[in-house]
Amino acid sequence: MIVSRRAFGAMALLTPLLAPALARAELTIDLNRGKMEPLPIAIPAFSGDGPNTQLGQQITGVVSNDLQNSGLFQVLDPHSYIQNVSAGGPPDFGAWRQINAQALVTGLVQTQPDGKARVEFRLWDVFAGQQLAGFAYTTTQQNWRRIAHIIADEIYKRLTGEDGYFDTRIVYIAESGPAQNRIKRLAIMDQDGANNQHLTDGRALVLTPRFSPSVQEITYLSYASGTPRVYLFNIDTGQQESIGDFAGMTFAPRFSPDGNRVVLSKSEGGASNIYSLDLRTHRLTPLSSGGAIDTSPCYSPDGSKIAFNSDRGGSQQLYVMGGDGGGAQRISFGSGKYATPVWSPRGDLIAFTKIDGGTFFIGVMHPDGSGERLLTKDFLVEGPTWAPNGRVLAYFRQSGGGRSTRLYSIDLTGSNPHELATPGDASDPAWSPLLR
Amino acid sequence: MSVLVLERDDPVDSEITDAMPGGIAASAVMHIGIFALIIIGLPNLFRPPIPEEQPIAVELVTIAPETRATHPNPNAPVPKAKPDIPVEAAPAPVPQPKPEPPPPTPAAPSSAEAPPPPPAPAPPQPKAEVPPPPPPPPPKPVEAQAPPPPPPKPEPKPDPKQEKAAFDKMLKNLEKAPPKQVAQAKPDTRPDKQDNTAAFDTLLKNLEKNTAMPDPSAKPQRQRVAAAAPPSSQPRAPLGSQLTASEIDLVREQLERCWNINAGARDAKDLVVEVRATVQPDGTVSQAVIVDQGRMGDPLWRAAAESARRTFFNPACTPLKLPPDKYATWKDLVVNFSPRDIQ
Repeated sequence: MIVSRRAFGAMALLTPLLAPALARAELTIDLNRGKMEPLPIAIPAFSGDGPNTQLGQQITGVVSNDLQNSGLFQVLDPHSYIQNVSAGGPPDFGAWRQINAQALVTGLVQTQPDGKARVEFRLWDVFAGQQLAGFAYTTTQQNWRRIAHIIADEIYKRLTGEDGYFDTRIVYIAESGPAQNRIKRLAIMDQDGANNQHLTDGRALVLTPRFSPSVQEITYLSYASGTPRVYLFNIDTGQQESIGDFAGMTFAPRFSPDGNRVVLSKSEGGASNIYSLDLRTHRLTPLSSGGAIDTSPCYSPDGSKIAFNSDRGGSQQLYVMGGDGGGAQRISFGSGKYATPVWSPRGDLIAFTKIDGGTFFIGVMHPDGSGERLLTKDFLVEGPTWAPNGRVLAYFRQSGGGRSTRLYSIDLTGSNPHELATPGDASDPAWSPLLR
Repeated sequence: MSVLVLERDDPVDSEITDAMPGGIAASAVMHIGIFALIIIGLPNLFRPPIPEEQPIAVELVTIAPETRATHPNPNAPVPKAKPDIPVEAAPAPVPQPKPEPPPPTPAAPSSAEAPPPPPAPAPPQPKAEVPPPPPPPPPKPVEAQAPPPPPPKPEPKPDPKQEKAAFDKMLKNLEKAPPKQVAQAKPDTRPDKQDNTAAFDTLLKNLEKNTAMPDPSAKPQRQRVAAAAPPSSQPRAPLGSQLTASEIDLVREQLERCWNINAGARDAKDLVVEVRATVQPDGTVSQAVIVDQGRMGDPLWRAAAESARRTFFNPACTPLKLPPDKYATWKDLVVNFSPRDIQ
């Protein structure tokens, strides 16, 4: 009796020790390599009756185009779809798995009694068999493109965890005419090339447009008064104004993150220095001084720092200084010259143009100068601008002397470079924030 | 008498000494002999015979010049040494180990720095034509829908049909296109395994390794090695039924082909996800659970976690390549998705 009790006691003591060992009969694997491949997604045409059938097809066309162009999604060929979801009801996930779809978008377009369109969509995880997102929007029929972009943004956001960038616009310089008498006009379009229009008539040379991060406003350089001056253009009202008549040229303007200031370069004799201009008081505050050429200033997203390029060290390199000037540190140390630093809205990277051995490059590096990567190169690639989510860059490219200049975009990983369609030659793109 | 006594007495001693001398000596000899046998002989019985010392051939003639040759020697024995080696070694391929890609031909002839648009003065024109801006469309997100939850079917479909080879296209490895620096970088980043997966550093494109920047050039090599190194993965099971290293490598390589990484995501290297999968005897995964549910509130982490979970249901990973006879070992599979090597 005593013995069996002892044995029982020993077993009772050992059991908790043994249990984890028994429960740990599992295989543990550490993965630190993988692939980068677009996510297969199925987007059957949104259903709808009467004229809404066509509207549903148009909306899905824009959504599909946005997601496909991002490079992160592979929109599956509609001909491969097995289930006809327009009939309504929940998706047959088995049928979508069969065509290797990992995500599925279904939608419905209805006309409301007031004539407005109501567009709803649902995003499904095919493997898990569950809904990931579902929203409905009501708007005038004319706004169907924006609704499509907003839906694409929602899908992008849910599946990547980062904000989308489809409901945005790009302002750029539309170029035409012979090289000796080039006409340059301010132009704007949706990020997918739709709704292209000119904002200025081309009588004055315009350069380097930049979007305000807070309002529908553009700052740019114009020769309208004969000398280069920084101007503001309000997209909503069409108002255009010079932001100050200062001695010397002002150029390379860029908004502060709060939109209340513009940081720019101002020529002073043979040098140029960086100034901050308060848009309410029109007061200029110097941020750099000296005899070097400091230009292309760009705030960090939190406004605490400014990246710029300078030849103060002998060659043109990138520097970072405090948001109120001072403490400049050189961050580029590669061969060649560096220019046009643009701080990512995410804050983690600075995009730049590099000129080395007669070739132009677009690259990115961390704000401390580490991790430099060159993404693309050509006879001329220049003017990088970030999509508002800091994932994609747009720039302009010229493949050879005398050839046309076009806008391109590229993923920050260096994948998915493709042209952004413009009616004619285009340069100096600037991406807007999300339109909401 | 007394002498006798004395003699007698003596003989007692002497008797001992005298009577025993032959026996004691014999005994002593015997004992010593036995002990000697035991001490010396016995161990040698079980010891293999000591091999005969091999004669070391020493050629006095050749030693002298060779030893002298190791010193800096004005007599220059170099030509002799060199021809010997190639004969024994490999026949040819040494001279050009690195096939050089075509030299860089930047299409920038004369005006490399010309492109920036010339600030040609234009006719002063303060007012420009301003077409009406596009009407701001006001879309209203109305309501989030909670649809009828369809019957979830977690049962995965085992259809190991086609593995996609499209990955190579996705991996924009600039090493192909551009010139010399890349050619140097190539051997470094091409280690042991040739598969279509890649460490994170190679998922991020870089047109050329910048020799002036120490970090980028140094890192990739180390990372690739680390990534390909034998893992910390260990089957925790009774010894007899443990998976072998090659069996683990097989399934890891399979999973690597199914894990889709968003390498460009913000702070991608911090998006470490642990997924616990229940595997059926046929190698299909019936359930995959993201362990750290507490982080699902972070959209970025949630997207990474869901992408990691999808790995198990990718057709290329259905079924998993695991030995059926060791099912008890891998029935419960824990995978740590750790993009730690991203730049």
